Amino acid sequence: MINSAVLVIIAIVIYISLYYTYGKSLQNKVVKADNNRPTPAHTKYDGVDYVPAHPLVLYGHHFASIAGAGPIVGPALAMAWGWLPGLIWVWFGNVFIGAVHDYLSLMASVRYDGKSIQWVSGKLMGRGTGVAFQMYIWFTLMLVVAAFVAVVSKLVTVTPQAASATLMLLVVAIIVGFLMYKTKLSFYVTTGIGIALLIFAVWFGYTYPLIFVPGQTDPTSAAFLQVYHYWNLILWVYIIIASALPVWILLQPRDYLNAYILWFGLALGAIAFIGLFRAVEVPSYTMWSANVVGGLPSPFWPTIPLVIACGALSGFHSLVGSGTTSKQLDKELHGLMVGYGGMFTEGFLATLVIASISVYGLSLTGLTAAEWGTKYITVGGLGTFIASYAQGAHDFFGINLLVAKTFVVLWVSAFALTSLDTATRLGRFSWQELFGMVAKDTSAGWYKTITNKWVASFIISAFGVYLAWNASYKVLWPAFSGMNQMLASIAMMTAALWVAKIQRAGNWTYAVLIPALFLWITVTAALIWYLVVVVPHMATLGTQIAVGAITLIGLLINFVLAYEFYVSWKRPSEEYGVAPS
Amino acid sequence: MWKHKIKYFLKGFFGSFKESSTEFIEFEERELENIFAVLLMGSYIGIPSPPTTILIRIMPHMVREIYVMQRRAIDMDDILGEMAGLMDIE
Repeated sequence: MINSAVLVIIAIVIYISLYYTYGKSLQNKVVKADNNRPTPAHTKYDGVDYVPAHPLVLYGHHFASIAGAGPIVGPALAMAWGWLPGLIWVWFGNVFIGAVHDYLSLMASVRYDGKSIQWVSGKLMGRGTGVAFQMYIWFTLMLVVAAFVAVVSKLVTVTPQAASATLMLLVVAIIVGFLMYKTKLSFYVTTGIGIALLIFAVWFGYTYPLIFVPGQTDPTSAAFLQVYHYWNLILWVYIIIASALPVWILLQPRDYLNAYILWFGLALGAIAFIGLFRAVEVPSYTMWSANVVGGLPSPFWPTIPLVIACGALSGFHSLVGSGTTSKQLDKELHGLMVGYGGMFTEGFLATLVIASISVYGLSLTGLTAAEWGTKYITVGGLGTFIASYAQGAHDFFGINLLVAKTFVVLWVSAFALTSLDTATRLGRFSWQELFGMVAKDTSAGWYKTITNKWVASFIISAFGVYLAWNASYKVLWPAFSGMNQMLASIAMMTAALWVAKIQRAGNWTYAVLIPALFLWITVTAALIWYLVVVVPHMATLGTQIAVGAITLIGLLINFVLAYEFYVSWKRPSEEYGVAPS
Repeated sequence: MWKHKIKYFLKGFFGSFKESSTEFIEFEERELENIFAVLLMGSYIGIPSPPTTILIRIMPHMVREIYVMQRRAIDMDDILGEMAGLMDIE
């Protein structure tokens, strides 16, 4: 009989064994990592950007950077296919694509003096797509804002305890920020106060739920929609203000507290679901085309990467991995633990999500096994994970159910808020950068107006909130995932070129090339499917046009990059020379 | 041996928490440093302040900054990596 402990333990065994077999082979035969080859942290040491770091510090930091609400939302939605298809995608997608993607992005960046994988891509494939790529990034960030505004608004509407706790977390973060950066209190004392205040925030939420309209907790009611829109507006104001504040006031201390929430949540969940030994009740497999994306029948292939992005593989990781981590890697052999191992930890989080819904899903949603594939998407999703995790914590540790629920929603919303904040900041930079590329005269009045800090924040947040206003996260999430996965396929193709032409890894090239092509074909097919099937079903014409246009732009860039990849692949290896260092 | 390994593990593990309490501040400090350097070295790019004589007097103390500035100027062809890497995003 399959139970929660078996699922979690199999995940641990798969991850550890493949780390030491497949991962080590990648390290030795593809990357050819060598501790005698100095990393950019040493060759370009400046005490500021390039500084060698302790491998565990880098691993923890890298994992905290890549882990967020993503590996929770996607697997929770994919449960409609049953627990097995999602789990297979998380495990094998993780081991053979996601972790390879992260590791190779990191190591290619290390060999190119810490430049990002997009820079390496330009170096290997040509630089014809600068403006298009910048536009693509901006649109993707806007979808991040839309998806996370929708996620947070829904969560705090149906769980008003978490609404108070989330707002209290903002206050707690400001207090911790003040104590940590503006007083002479020791780091450890401030941390102790911060953790105590975190516990207080959960208690506060539990005791004083923030209810705007009675009956708002029922997602099918009119009251829910009304309060959902209130939260859209509150978050809109929040995004604009939070992304303009100095980082020490809110962003930094909340990010620090999030690290504790993340590790505590992971440890609590792992112990509870291993210890519970509760049998799986959700069907292992429902049907090939379960109702998932936008509530419509979605064929498992190719739509799975639109649902599970982070957790199996994520294109954003290539940016994080190659942007900062590669500048701080002390020795090349540390790269496997940081890049490959960091992604496994995220896969483990996704496994926990699937395991928790598997063992409580039917009882909590009231569905039968027969109707799970068609009706799960209407009653389940992220809410089912929250209820299941809380139930697990309650059954194993005896934690009050509502307190546990408040904690989990706080966990998801805290990460989502950080993503909102950073996506708006990045979107603002990206917007300014984009107009800097197309404007002939950057001293002109219109240029100054349109790239003004407040105007740039207003535009990205207004578009994001507009999309969230009219569509559920169950529709927006796949659009964001699709763009994210495309970024991953670009990074994988770059890695394949690097491995084939620079590293000359022989047959091991296929370990990168096959996943890269498989990913490109899958994501392209999935986005075409999304454009043809899902977009026409969106609630308003405005949303159809906006999401349709973004997806179309993404697809066009995808084809341009695939063509560039093909041309580059045909060039003989001798033309590439060798990587620096 | 094991005692040493556990100590090493804990040091790294908790070090990662500490690191997450400073990453964005480091980013902001870096930007402020860029602005400061541009203020001081402005005459190189046509900003006539401060007077060149003051700049020349300050220069010996700015050796490290000049190296960092030079490298960052070169890295500007990788602006996306710069932005995304510094503002960790999931």
